Amino acid sequence: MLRFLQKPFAYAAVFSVMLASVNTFVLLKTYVIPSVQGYVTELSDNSSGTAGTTEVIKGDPVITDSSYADENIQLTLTTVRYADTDVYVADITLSSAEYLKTALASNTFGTNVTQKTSEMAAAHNAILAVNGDYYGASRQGYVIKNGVIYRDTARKDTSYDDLVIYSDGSFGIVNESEVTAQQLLDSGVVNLFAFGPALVQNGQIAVSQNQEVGRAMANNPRTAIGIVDDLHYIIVVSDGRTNQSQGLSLYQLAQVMQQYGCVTAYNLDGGGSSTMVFNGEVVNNPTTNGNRISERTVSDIVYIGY
Amino acid sequence: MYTSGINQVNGVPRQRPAVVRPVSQQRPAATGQWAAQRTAQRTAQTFHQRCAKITGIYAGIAAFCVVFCLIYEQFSFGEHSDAMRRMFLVPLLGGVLPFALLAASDLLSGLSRVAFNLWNSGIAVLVSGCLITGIIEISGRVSDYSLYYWIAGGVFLAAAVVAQTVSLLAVSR
Repeated sequence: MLRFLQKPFAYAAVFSVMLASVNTFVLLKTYVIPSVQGYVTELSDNSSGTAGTTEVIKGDPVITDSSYADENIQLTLTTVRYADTDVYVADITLSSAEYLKTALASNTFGTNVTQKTSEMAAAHNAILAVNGDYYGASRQGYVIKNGVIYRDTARKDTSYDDLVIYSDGSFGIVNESEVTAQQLLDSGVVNLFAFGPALVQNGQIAVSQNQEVGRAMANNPRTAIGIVDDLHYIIVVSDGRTNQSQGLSLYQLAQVMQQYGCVTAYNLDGGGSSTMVFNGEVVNNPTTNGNRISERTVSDIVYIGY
Repeated sequence: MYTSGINQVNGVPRQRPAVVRPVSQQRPAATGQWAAQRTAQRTAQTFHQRCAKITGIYAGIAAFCVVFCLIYEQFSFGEHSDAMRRMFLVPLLGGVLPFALLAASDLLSGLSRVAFNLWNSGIAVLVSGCLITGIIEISGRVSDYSLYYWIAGGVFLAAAVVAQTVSLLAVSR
């Protein structure tokens, strides 16, 4: 051993290979190797979930390229131009909160378990779907989906609040340092998004002009969800990083949500993850680097459907 | 000075074959204190030169870390990582500073190869930790492995210090 440590080149070569191997393993473990921790069906058996318990009467839906309407769901999709960016706005009115749902990639909870938003939307017959909070990017932060607690570990960085959706469809903003996941579930929370920050609270913009996700200070593709009134929601996806669309800052996104009357609005995972699917078609231009329009796989979606 | 045992055969020091030079090429015999001083001067000079060379290499690595970070941030859509931005400090404080000090002073007259290898390993692990942590943070994820890099790097550096101390103690005996 001592002799080996004294050989400069042999030691350097072996050590370099070992260090490179460790680095490769860490990167693969972080980005590629799936780590399954549970399945939706198994976990749902023990849940107090409320979704899917009511007999649904849909009637004949009226579907156009930019709208959907039936007995329970009225949805209008518009594209607006804001800050040199194409912004896709879905105005949704529901008869019941149970039509606002979330889904996990491959119905599986875990890290690096991902699927395209459009694939998840198709699997759940979603009328409209957008990417969620990409819970799989972190091993911390509460994960509550469709009334089931999948993770109850509070995120270390509690500078951002979470968005909770109660069983009656109302929104709330909570901080994980102040409440446990079980307390949230007991209070009627059925879905939780741990990304952030909150864009609009009590009708007022809640982010500063310079505030950004993490340490980013750039305009980006964005996804946001907000509530206007009881069972009246706004879901927004913006393009970005392309020649056609610059992208939005958080403040600009908050302005959009406020303009559409949101009293509470929340920023979901953005960048290359930002994807909106309507009636099986991707309506925005998802891109990671601007060079190629391509959907990124994500951990979860929020969708409107039965 | 720091015999490792590799120049021994069955415990007996390996002898260099005698070189017989013509009388005209024979060097004048260096004897006594003067010879010892000359040997010490040459050893110290070589060691200082070597430390200066290592300082230059570490300075190059630190500069590369800065350039790498700048280029990486150009393609990270405004995201940055403190870990990656501070990556250059590792070769700077752990390489340039100590070896420049050794090159400019007489703190040490030699360095154990084991200690040198372990020290370099520690620096490499810490730089890797900064790099991997930075890449993961910039992608919006949380690194679960950073702590292991810091611990492993620290262990290597501590082991290097121990190895050098043991080496010095062995020489002093």
